[in-house]
Amino acid sequence: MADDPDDSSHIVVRLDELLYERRMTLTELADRIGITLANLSILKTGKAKAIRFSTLEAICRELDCQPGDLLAYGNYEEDQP
Amino acid sequence: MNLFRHGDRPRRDWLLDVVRLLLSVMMVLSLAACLAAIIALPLMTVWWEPARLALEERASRPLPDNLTYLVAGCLVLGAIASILAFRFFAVGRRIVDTVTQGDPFIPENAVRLREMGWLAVITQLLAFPASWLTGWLAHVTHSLYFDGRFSLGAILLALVLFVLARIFRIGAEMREDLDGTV
Repeated sequence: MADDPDDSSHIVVRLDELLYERRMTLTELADRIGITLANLSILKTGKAKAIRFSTLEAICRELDCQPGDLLAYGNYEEDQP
Repeated sequence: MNLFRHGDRPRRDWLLDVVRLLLSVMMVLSLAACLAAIIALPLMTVWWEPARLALEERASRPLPDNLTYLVAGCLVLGAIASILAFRFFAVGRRIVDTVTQGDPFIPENAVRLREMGWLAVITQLLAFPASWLTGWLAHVTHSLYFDGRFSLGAILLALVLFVLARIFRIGAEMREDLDGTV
């Protein structure tokens, strides 16, 4: 619903940017952290409903980043190109 | 053994196979009972007199004129109850199939369990006119025994099915959440 304030804001997953900065592909990351490419794609496209601490930990380990680098709370409309 | 993990490859389970077979047999029996009742209705008009004489002989006394309607009423109720039973077992078999496939926590199963609960309730509601009819038949034929009692067990079964439907609905919601977790 457009009237719902929660609709316009959401958790933004910055996996794409982090992968680009580290010159790493999604497939490579999936292999390194041991989760399927399909699940990682769900996370990257922002379709995931939840993320396990173990997944977050593995991504942060492999990309050498903090959880805050990967996730951000943002406004959907502001994030659109 | 985690039988209920979503996306698991279907596996053989002898208990599920037995239950499925039993439900299939019950479906066939229900259908046969329904067909027998439906076929018996028109046949009653053809062979009523010999049947009436046989009943009178067993009852050792003359039978009332409205006996035809009582028997016809029993047959109609029997046919309806058989259709409900057929549906009950068919829906139950579909639920068993989803368990066999390793994916029972789906919203459809909650709907199916609720339907089974309502079928059990409706069948028991039919027991009221059925018990009245069979009681009257037993009374007028004197020596014959008819069983059409109301069952408290069936009402408890319906309540359990309604509770299970709620459990499955919550289970389906939880599974949906789990599916979106990476």
